[in-house]
Amino acid sequence: MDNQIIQNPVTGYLNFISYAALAILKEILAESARSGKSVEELLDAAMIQTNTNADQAAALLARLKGE
Amino acid sequence: MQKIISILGVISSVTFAVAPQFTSLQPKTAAWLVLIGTTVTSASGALMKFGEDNKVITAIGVAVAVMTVLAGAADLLPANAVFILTVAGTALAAVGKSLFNFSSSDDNFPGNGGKGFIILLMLVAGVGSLTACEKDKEYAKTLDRVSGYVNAGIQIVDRQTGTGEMSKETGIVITTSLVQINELNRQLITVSQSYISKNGQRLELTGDGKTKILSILVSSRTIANELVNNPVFKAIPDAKRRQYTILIDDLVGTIASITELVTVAKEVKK
Repeated sequence: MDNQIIQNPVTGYLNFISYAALAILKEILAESARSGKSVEELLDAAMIQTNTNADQAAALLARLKGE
Repeated sequence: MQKIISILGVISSVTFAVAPQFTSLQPKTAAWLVLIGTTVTSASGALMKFGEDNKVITAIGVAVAVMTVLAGAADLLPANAVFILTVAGTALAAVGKSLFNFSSSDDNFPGNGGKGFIILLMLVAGVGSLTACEKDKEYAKTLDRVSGYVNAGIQIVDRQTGTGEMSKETGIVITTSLVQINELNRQLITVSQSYISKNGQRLELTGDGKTKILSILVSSRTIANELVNNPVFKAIPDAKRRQYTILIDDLVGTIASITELVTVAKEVKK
C-alpha cells in the first residue's frame, strides 16, 4: 500500500523543502565539478555513472521482485 | 547604502544571467531573476535620482534590460542574445545613476567615473566569454546530468520502497523506466564518444552521427512521457509523486536541450 505512513501535511512540506534544498545543493556541486572537465572527460564520467546506475537498478529490481 | 544596493543588483543580474550555463537553472527562471536584479539596480539609484543627472541613459538601460528579459521569457529572443542585451541594459542603468558616481561634472570618459565603467566592461566581457562556451561541452555536460537524474530516481525508489511509502509494483514500474532511459543515455554516450576530436575538447559530429543521436533522443522522450502517463505512476499520492515529477520535468527539459544542441550543431564532413 502507498499510504502506510500517515504524515502531518506540514511535515510533508518540510520534508519536500529539505529534499529540494539538498537536491539543488547536490546539483550545484555536481555542476562545479563538471565545469573544469573536457568533453572527453565529461563523457567518461557520464559513462561511469551510467554503469553504476545499471548495477544499482538491477539490484533494486532484484530486491523488489524477490520480496 | 544606495551604492551597496546598486552593486548587489548588478552582481545578482550578472550571476543569474550566467547561471543557466553552469547550473540546471532553467533559462526562463534565470531571466526573471535577472529582471529582479535589474529592477533592484534601477530602483536603488534611478528612482531616487530620477529627474537629476543621466536620467535618459538610466531610463534607456532599464527599458532595454526589462524588454529583453520579457522577450527572452516569451521565447522571442535566443538565450545568448537575452544575456548580452540584459547585461548591456543593466550596465547602462548602472552607468546612468550613482553606482559609479557619475554626475554631470565627471562624465568626461574616462575620468573619475571611467574607472568604474571600465571595471564593469571587463566584468561583462569576462562573463560573456564564459557564456559563449562551446556547445559540445554543454552537450557532454547534459549527458552527465541525465545520468545523475537517473541515479537520483533510483535512490528515491530505493528509499521509498524500503520505508514502505511506495508499493513494490510502483517501484518496479518506475525503476524499469529509469533502466530504459539509462540504457538510451548509454547509447548516446557511446555514439558521442566516437566523435570526440583528437584533443578531447570537441565533438566532430557527422550528419550520420546527428541522425543517430536525434533518434535516441526521441526514444528517451517517449519513455519519459509514457512513465508520466502510466496509471501506476498516476496512482502515487501527490506528495510522493512530486519528487518524481520534478525529476521527470528536469529529464524532459534536459532531453529537449540536448535535442536543440544537436540540431544546431555544425556538421563535420569525414
